[in-house]
Amino acid sequence: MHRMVETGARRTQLLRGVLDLCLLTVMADGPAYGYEMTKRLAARGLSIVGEGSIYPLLGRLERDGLVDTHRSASNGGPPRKYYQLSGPGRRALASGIREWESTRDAVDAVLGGMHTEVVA
Amino acid sequence: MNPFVTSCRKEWARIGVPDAAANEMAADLEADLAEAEADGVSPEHVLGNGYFDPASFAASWARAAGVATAARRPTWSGLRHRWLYLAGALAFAAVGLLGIALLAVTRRSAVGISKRALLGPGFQLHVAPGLPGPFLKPTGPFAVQVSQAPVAVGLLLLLAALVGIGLTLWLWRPWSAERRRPGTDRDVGMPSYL
Repeated sequence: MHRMVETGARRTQLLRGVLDLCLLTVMADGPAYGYEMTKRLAARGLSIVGEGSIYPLLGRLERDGLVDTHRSASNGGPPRKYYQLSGPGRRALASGIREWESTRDAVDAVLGGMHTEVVA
Repeated sequence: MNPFVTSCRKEWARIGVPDAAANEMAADLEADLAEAEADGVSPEHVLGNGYFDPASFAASWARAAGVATAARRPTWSGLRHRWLYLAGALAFAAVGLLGIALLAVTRRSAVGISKRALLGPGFQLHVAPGLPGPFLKPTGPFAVQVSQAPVAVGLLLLLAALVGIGLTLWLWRPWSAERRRPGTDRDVGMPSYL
């Protein structure tokens, strides 16, 4: 059997294209700091264990103006940087979601008729 | 301070992250890791694969945020390769200069012979292949013929030098600003359209 890309590597490649959208989405629920965003992602069923870190991505989103930041105390803890969606970030998120849905539907159309079996 | 954060601070200092930015990033990271530990969550849950390579994680974060100011310090192997390419280019340049010198000397000899030919009789017009224009070739016991070998050798040396220099510069590509940096750009979620 032709060996395809391993499951873990495929997941990483797939996630590489959409993690920014996931972060922007959880920010839409309200401002959040880094660890809080990982908790929000995990609550929605997405774990980044074994993947790249979200911090460089947050840095890039901030540098590109897609998020606004401010520092404030967090739940009685030390001041932290909070990230929230900016105007351009909202537009990028909407555009990205449309592109994701279009791509997902196209891929589903190709893969939808296949039946898979696990051969012991 | 958390050992992971300490490692990150060292890397930020090395790549020229301003103190204010480094302090802020370190504080955020320290607080996040502390809260995760209190929740019973492993650092890998917070940092992903970056947990296993703090230097790459720190460099990646700083560059993505645009706060790294220093160029990446060249490695020893990179410096050694740079000297090899330079030495190669200089060697080929020396070969080229040798070829040019050979051509220049050969041309001067041919001109010298033609000048002497104008001084008196006993010379006949001669066109020698490989030399620019005809010249007077002495006849009889004073017959002199310019050898074509040095010209051919000179041209070959010059051609080899040009090819060698071109190949060396192409392999070295010193003008290339972006060189592949393994381990620092493995950021998940960095699509080109954002």
